[in-house]
Amino acid sequence: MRVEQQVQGASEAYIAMMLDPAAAGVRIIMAAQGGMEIEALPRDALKTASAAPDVAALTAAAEKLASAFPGAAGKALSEAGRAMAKAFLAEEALLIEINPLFIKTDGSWLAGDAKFVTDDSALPRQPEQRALLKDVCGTYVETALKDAHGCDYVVVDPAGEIALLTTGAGLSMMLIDEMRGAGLKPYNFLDIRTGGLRGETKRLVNVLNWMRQGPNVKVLLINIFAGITELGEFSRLLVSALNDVPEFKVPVVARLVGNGMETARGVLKETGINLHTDLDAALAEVRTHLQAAQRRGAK
Amino acid sequence: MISPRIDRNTKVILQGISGRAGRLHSRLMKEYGSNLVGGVSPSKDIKDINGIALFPDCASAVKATGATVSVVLVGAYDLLDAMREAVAAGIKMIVTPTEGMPVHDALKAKRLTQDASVLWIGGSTPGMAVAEVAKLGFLPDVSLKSGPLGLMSKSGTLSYESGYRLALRGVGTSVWVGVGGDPVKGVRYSDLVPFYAADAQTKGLLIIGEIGGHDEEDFAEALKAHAFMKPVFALIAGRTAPEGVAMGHAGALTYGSHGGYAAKRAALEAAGVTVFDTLNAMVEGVAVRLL
Repeated sequence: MRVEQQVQGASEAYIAMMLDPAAAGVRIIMAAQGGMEIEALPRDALKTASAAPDVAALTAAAEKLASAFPGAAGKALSEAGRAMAKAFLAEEALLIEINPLFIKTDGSWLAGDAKFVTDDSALPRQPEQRALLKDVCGTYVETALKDAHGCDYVVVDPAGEIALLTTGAGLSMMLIDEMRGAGLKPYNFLDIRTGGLRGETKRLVNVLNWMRQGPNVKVLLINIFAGITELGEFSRLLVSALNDVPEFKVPVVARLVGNGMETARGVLKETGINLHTDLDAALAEVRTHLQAAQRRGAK
Repeated sequence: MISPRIDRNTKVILQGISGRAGRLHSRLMKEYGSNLVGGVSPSKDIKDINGIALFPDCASAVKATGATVSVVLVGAYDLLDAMREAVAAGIKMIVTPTEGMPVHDALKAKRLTQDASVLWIGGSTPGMAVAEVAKLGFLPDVSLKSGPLGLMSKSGTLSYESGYRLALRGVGTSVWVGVGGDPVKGVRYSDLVPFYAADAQTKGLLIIGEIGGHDEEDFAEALKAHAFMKPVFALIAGRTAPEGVAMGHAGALTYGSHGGYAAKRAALEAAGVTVFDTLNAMVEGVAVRLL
C-alpha cells in the first residue's frame, strides 16, 4: 500500500507501456485525458508508438510521443515516459499503466493509480517481485500457486459441482467451456502438467486437497490426453494420491487416451474406477453421479 | 515466402540432446522419420545418443552435417543464448518447445530471428509435423494422419485431442504448426497465411486458438488481405474463462475487452471463418467440408 498526498487543481492524463507481440517491441500509449477506462477514451485522443525493447529506443520514442502534447502535459508525460521505460525493461513488465497521471500546472506529476502486469516466467530472476508476491499471495492466488507448485489451478466457480483433474491449458479451458455449454458446473481449471510429476504423488495430493475445499463438489472428472506421458504410471500415482487424501470422498470418473492405456485400465479397475476413452461417455457417467448425489440430498 | 514444410531429407540437429527431454524426443522424432543428423551437448563422455552424433556446439554441428533446422530443448533461461548460437551457425528454422521463456527474452529472440530471416516456431510450442513424413517436437503419433487439413494451434493438448478425433473421423493433416501459447512468439498464425494459400496438399485450414492477445484478430485480417480462398475453421478455448486470470498459458490473459472471446469470434467470422463451440462440432464440420 502506498499513500500519496492529496492532489488538487491537477489535470488527469494517461500513460501506458505494453507488449507489442507483432512488432517484437513495446507499445507506448499516451493521452492528455485520463481517469476513465482506456476503452472509453476517444480514439483520436490516444497517441501511440512502438519501439524496440531497449532503454535508448524506448526512452527516445516516449519523449518524441510526449512532445506532441503542449505545455505541462508534454513535460510531465516526457518525464513519466522516461521513468516508465526504465521500469518496464528492468522489471520485465508485460504492462504498466498509470491512469490517471495527475499533472499540476508546473508540469510536476503524480501517479493516481497504476496497473503493473508481471511476467510469471521471469519471477525467478526478479527477486523483489517474488518477495512481494509472497507477502501478498492472498491477492495473487494463481501466480503464487504456480510459483510454489509448478501447476496452474484456478477456482472458476466456487459453487461448482465437478472437480477437474486435467492437463494442458487449452484442452482444460475447452473442457470447461463445453461442460458449461452443456449445463454442467465445473469447479476448477487445472493444468497439472503430467510431464512434471516425475514419479511423485506430491502435486496430485496437493490438488486433491485444494479440490475438496469446494463445498458443492460431488464428483471428480479426470481427463488426460497423453501424447507422451505413460498412462500406466500416471494411474498408479493417481490411485496412490487418492488413497493419501481419504477426506476427498467423491466418485471418480476417468477419461484417459494415449500411451499405456491398457495398463491404466487394469490399475484403475482394481480401485473400482472405469476408464473411458470417449469424453461424452465420461460426461454421461458424471451426470449419473450428480443425479445420485441429488437424490441422496433430497432424502 | 516463409515455409515450415520439412521432409525426410531436411537435416535437423537437437540442441540439448543429452537432457531428459532431449534423449526421449530425439528417439521419438527419429523413429517417426525425422532426419536427425546431430546433437549438441557439452558432455564430453558420450559420442552419440540414440545413434545421433554429438557435437560440442552448434557451429561444429552445422559445419559437419549441413543441418538447416534446430530443435532446442534447453532450460527456459538458456533458450535465448542457444538461439543466438543457432542463428550464428546459419540455422534457418528453430523450434523451441521449452515452456516458460521470459517474455522479454522472447522479444529479443523474435528480433534476432527476424533480422536473420530465420523461421522461429515457439516458445512453448508442442512442435510441428508433416504427418507421416517427419516431426519436430512432441506431437503424438496417434494424432498424426496425413491429409488435406492445415493446422495451427496455440495449445498442445487441445491440438492433440483435435488431431486424434479428426484422424478417427478420417481427416488427416498436411502441415501442422504449434505456434505456442506464449504472448510473444516467433511465427504467428497470420505469418503463415501465404504459405497455406500456396501449399498444394492443403485444402482447408484449422486454427485452434484461445483467449488473450491479438493473434486470432490479426489472422482474420491476413485472410482478407491475401484473399485466402480455402475453407478456414476455428476452435477458440476460453469462452467462459474469468477475466484477468491467465488460464495456464501466459498468453491467455484478458484485460478489459482486449483479447476476449467475443472479439475474436466476431473478427474471424467477418473474415469468413467457421467458428465451432465444441470439439465434436468442429470435427464433423471439417469432415463434411473436406472429405
